[in-house]
Amino acid sequence: MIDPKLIDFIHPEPTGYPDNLSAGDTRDILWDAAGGKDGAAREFPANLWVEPRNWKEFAAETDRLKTWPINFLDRTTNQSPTHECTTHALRAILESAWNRQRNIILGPPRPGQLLDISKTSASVWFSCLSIYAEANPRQWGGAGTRQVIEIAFKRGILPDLIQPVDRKFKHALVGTCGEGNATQSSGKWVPLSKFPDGWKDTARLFRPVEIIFPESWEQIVCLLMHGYGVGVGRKQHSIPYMRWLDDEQVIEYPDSYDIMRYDSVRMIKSAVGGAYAVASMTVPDDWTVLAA
Amino acid sequence: MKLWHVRRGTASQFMFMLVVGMLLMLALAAASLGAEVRIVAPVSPVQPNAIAVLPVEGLVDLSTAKVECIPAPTLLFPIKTWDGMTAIFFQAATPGKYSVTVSVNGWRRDLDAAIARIPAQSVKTEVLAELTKAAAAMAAAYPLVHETAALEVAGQLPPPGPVPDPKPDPKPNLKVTKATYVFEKDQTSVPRAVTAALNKISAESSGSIVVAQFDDDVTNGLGTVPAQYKIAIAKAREEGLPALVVQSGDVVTRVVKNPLTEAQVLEALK
Repeated sequence: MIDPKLIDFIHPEPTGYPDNLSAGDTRDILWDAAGGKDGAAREFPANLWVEPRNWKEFAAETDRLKTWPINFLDRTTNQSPTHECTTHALRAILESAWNRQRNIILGPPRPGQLLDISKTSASVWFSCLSIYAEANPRQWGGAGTRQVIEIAFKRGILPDLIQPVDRKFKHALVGTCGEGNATQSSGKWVPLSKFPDGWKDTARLFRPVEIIFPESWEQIVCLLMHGYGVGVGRKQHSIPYMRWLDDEQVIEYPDSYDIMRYDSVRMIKSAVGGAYAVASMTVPDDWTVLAA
Repeated sequence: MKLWHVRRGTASQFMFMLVVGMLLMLALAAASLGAEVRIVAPVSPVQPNAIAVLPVEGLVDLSTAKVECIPAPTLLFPIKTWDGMTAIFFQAATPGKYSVTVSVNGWRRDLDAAIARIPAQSVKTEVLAELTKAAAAMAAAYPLVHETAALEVAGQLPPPGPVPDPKPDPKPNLKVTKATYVFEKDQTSVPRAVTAALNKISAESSGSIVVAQFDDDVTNGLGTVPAQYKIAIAKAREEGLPALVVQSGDVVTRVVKNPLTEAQVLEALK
């Protein structure tokens, strides 16, 4: 049974998604931020629709096959006390998409801990700060979903300094200015002007190329059923939806405070407006040599 | 409810009788409702084109229930045997997983739609209000019930016409190094069973077999086709998407078109 305190949790302190930013994250604006139809923006594909009356059975099969977005994620992050939430949500969506393409079932993650399987996988951990530093050069005040999507789509994201396996990336950046954990590096603020020389050559290797914008909470659940994590913003906080629990009628997500939490249908419905799912990313020329 | 107050000889009388008729059918449907509805589906996969009889427990009559199946099979209809057992006849030619759903009191949906179609001006307001109230009360007393069961059709159908002689594998002992599932995202999605099977292959080979799944328009960070997948993507397009392309280095050893099950994927790598 889920602890009720973990359901529909609202952070008492700002996490980085204030109302003035969330108000601008309408579907039309996010669509344009992703480059429109000629860019990465996509409508919800009809072939992903699952009739709600079939959700129970579909979810049970997804449990058995372990193909929820959370199963493609092998770590959590910790942003406390920064305002980086939108980028922490984005990194979870991107890492899950990367591992899904690579067909690696690793998760669910153990909050704050390194999984043994990560050491032998092709999992790549991304730096939240590598996006946030450009989205909000002032460091405090947060960033909108449209900003982080636009940045990631245009130039990609850098790897975190910590990786499950040393891949000798030519360029990497500290993961967060927050607490971090055993799987996320933590350090001082790095402005965009101080990123390592030539960093764009590495960031472009990790870029979302297809982003789906659902229009209903049912479409959000359908995306989860097919393994696509969904980033949302609600109650001044941005989070990555990762698994539908049909018996409890809630969605599970790894909150960027090293803890798993849950949203009820009521909360999910409020989060539809700025929701997005990364359906595909760039694929490297060689998985074993990812360094630029 | 004063049914005799509707004026004779008007179109509204016809609509009125239609709605009354549907209310009676709803009452009949209510009589069908047992304690709990359960579809007894076979545990083992059925053969293609074999008829499966799925008993339905908890219902004395399926004539007022709706029976649906996703995807659509060859045959699907409710029956009642001589000894009074209610069941569903199921037959499918195509292998795969099927989901059969029985909805009891699905007539309630139709009743709601019929009431909505009654032109307001053709029926007295108080009569329409009484009809709606009665329908709502019956709907509350006999709520919609769904029950879904899954079954699998296994095996492979023989191709039409003469079976061509199988081409001998020129290099039967090549070690598999790569298994790539290529699809067209606007037409299909990746079956979860394929994802799970490819993951299993990767894990059991300790990563020596590189597995992946992506749309055929995939690019690397420079906007071109990823070098390691040029052969797989070209072959998949040639054979028809979606396809699983199995390679030993640069040699394509096998292509499986549209695999749907774990078994099909695992078999392809033997």
